Amino acid sequence: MQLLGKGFANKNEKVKNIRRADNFAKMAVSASTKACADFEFSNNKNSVSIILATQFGPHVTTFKFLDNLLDYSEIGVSPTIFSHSVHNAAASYIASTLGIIGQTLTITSFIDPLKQGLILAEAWLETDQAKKIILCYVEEESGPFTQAHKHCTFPSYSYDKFRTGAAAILLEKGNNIEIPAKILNPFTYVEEI
Amino acid sequence: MNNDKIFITGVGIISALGNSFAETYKSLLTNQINPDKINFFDCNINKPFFKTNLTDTQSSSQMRTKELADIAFFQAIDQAKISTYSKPDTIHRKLKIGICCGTTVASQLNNIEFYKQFREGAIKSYDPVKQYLAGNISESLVHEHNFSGPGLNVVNACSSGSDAIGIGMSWIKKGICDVVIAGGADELNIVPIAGFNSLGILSDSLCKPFDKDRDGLNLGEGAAFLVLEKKSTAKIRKAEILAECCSYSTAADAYHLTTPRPDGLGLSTAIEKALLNANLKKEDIDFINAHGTATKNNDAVEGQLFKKMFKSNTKIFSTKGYTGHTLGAAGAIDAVLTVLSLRKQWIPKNAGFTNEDPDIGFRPVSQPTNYNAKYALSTSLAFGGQNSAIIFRRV
Repeated sequence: MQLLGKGFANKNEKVKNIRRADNFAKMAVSASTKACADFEFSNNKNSVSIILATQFGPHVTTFKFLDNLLDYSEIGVSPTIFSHSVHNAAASYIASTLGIIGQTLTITSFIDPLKQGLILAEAWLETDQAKKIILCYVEEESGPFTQAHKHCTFPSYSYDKFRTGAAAILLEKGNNIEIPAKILNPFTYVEEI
Repeated sequence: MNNDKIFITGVGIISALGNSFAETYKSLLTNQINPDKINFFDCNINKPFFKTNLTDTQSSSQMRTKELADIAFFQAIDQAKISTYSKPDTIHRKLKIGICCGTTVASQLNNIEFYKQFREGAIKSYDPVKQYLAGNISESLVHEHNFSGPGLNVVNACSSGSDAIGIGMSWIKKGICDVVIAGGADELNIVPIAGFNSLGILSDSLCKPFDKDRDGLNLGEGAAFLVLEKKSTAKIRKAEILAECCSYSTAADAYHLTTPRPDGLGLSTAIEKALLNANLKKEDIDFINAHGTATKNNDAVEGQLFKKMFKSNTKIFSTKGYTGHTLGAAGAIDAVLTVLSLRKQWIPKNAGFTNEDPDIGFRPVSQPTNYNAKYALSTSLAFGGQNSAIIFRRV
């Protein structure tokens, strides 16, 4: 695979036109937009694909929804919070912000999800299912998981600590990226490639 | 890169229709529609739900979704003659086997009691977190059965099951796996029930896919898996070929988080690409197992597109009237039911349909029908504007 661009985002990103989106989606859109800054997808937007990889997804929003359930009962919950708690909301925001109508996929894996995303991206590029792929890794720290981290063994990237942020890379067919045997820190990995 | 054809050598299914392929077929033949109330957690939303007969006592040590997945998984590998307990040096133990599973509920830590204790600063046990961390269905199945391929969960909302099958096909085509066990699983859970209720798309009565008077969906639970592989590896185990998985494609609407694009562009793109990949014309499709959730928007987009795109005698039906909408499992359950129809040369009626919607302009299958079909299309639409299409062939 060949790297065409990369972008990063931290907590509290201000992203135009997606005011209602949660922080998880805003980080994903911001990093992906930066990764694609030098490219114009006006033609063949259905040949551009999105893969969003994460260990835990938008759990801050999931916990907000549980707040809703506890505070207002199942009859009084917010549809907006619910729709953002669905794991593929962030990928949907990337697609609509960049106008991409190719394959859009969200994957979760506790063990090395960015590597899983890279393997899938390579498969899609080599089998001509996509010409370009935005691969975005997003994670967001949340209170319950941070507390549980002291009492449970967390896997892979979050073994030592939680990280909040998004890193996105734009890929096409080529030879300048080798998939590593293991990624220990997804943000450091994207910085270094 | 090897582009050999990909076949299905095993299927497993659990839903409100029954606990196996045979039970499912029998229930469809006798038009069994068994909605129920929730009795395994507190729920004040009194709508019809489609439960499996998995009792709550069975799911005490792990997530209910994983219990459902296990049932469908073992059926599928048994049929495909994959022994997970054989010695490492036997031929099929050397196969690189991967798992790809779609889900929604299993991706979230939505244990209300744990979260309540967290809010009150009085967590009594971290077991729910440990259960969640052990509950990534694909990773845990790979680990439990000592498979050497990848384990990946797809969380693409309601198209996850179809997309998991598509990823499985990519893995085989790229040579990442020899065999992929792909599917989906989801349990009935208060989070999606409350969420869908808040969106105003749960029907008070039995759902009516494609009907003029449809007023929403019924939620259900279940799981389904398909064993995907090339003929060469199936031959090693003398596994029977059940059907060909010809092609898969997916496309985004890039339109809205919860509403499908009205012109159906994403869905038509997915179908056209799937036809192209399979080297087929739309006239080749004999029947369509539609997503058909019975919401106003979904059925209008799907129905209008099918009417415009396919020949008038193409049989179209939805099975959501029997299973409810099983979210992350739906695409996989639909895939197994499509294989069932191709194998039995029989298609079920579109349960719940009475009156034609003039805005759609066709009547789905109104009676169970013996039908000599070769190619079938299964479609899935999802939150976030995902549209997926899979084409199957009778063998």
